[in-house]
Amino acid sequence: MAQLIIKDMLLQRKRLIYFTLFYNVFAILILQDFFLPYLVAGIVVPYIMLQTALAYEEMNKSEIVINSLPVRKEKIVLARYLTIFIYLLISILCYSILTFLMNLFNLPLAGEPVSLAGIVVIFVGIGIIVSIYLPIFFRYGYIKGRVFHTVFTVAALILPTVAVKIIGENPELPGRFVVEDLVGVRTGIILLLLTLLILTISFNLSVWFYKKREF
Amino acid sequence: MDIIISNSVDEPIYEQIVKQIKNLIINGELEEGDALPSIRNLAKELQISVITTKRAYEELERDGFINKVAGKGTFVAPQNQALLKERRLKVVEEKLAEAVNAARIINLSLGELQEMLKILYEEV
Amino acid sequence: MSAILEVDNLRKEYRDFNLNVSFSLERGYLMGFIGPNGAGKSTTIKLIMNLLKKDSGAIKVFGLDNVKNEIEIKQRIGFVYDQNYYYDELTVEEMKGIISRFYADWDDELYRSYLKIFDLDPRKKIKELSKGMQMKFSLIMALSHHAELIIMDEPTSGLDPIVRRELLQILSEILQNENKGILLSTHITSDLDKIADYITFINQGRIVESTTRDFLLENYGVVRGKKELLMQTDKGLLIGVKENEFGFEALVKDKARAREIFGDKIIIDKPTLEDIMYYQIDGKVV
Repeated sequence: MAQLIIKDMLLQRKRLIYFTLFYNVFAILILQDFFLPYLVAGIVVPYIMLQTALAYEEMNKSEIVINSLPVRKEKIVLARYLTIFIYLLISILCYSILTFLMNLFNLPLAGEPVSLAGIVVIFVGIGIIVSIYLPIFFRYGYIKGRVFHTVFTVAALILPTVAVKIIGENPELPGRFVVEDLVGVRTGIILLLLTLLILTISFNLSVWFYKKREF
Repeated sequence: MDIIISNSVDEPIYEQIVKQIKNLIINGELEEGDALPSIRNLAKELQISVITTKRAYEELERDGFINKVAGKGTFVAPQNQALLKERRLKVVEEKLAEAVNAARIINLSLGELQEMLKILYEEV
Repeated sequence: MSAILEVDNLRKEYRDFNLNVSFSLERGYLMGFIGPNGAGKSTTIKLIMNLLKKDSGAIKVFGLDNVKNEIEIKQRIGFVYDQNYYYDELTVEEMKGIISRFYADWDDELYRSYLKIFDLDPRKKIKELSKGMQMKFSLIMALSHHAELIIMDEPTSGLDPIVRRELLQILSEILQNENKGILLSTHITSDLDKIADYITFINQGRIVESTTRDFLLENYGVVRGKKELLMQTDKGLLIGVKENEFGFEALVKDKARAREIFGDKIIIDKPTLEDIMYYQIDGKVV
């Protein structure tokens, strides 16, 4: 199973670096007035990485080979779930290094470093997105799964606009503090556990679907 | 050991192989105890099915020409010497009959034919 | 010893096609799986590999159920498909690095020896390889873990005759080991003329014939004669009758019988596998 994760990394190694760098810099520079920079780093980047990985698999039709190898479906599915969190780690790391460097050199557009609460939000965010998307992918394949992708992209574009509007109407809720307020330690832990639960359910569903898949 | 098979004749390939190996044994080119190629090796070299070579060997074994020794391979069986001699005599007889017929066509006499035979016998 | 592959009343239904097949393969032999495009060859092979789910029937590989013991079986199967489904961005060596770790019996020395035999540069990206080399790469992956059963689904389509012959040579070598078995599906039947032990002929989802190649060649024949002879024949003797201006031609399954009935009035030729396939597909039986 480790092989499957390594395989993904290998396949995307160039993209991983460029994309992550690019999006993070972009996020920091453009969106830095809100908590959004590290949300982009934590949610958007890993999600895009997942999409490109799946697109590539689809293009290659390599699922035929993978499923002809002596490897259990559970492992194939697990590898997919884990890869996303690795993308997450890489992205956050990249983001943190960037913000650290920016702060170090006192660059005017320094971004907000990631806080613990932020990590929780990111984890929950990715967890939920993945829990919904992956079973759809394993059941219907990449092409039909694009429907969800479109929905999500649209939502991702609308949400910031809505957020801006809300904040605009409630100036006493400056964006960057919202996160900290929302997530106290106890709430944080509960949210994390809930997300783990949802992920587990999603995983089992994905495995069940994938076992029935035809190639 | 030469085995040449043809795809275009009517005779099934396994029969061609059986005939040729029989002839090799009768002619003395293959002697008692000589090792034969494995059925798979033969199939590979002749580019035919191993089922064909298997069949050929089975028939040769049935007719007593070869023996399969478990674990070691296939070998030319000890031949019934009298039978073998008789077969070889037959070959000579056939060839002499051919010579006689050829001689008759050009009106060669028996004496002249015998003279020829003597010379050839001493030369070869 | 049980058969290396047993397919028993395997059924799969689609909207406009259904499959119902039974056949088996013993160790030590190569079975050519022939049939026209769309006959069900790939479907059958995918069912064996559990890439498609069967509706009913049994598939046993090495005597084991192909679904219950899927992983164990796949450890011992080498597969070669009609296209390159490997990651073409990766190099040969990288791809091998991924694949090899799934197989318990992977033999790296064997892999390297095959690289030499095929003259394949492991540093090349898969997309940089020609189609023939890509197939050879697939073959190397299939052979380097001491697989007992090699399943090939149209491996030679799109390859030039020289590469095809090379492949057949290699398969010949593999069969020197009487424990292995090879299932080779193709619609290019000339490939099998030199190497197949058994032939299974499938058409429209059904097995038409499954027997030794020798049997087919010794009993089948392509018959040619005057059209008037069509009146005299035994029912069901002439298959796939084709009439032209100057006479007719057809396949017979029992050429001795044909000779009996027509005597010298017909010509009987040795059939190629392609003939056997061709005349039976059209189906006009007289």
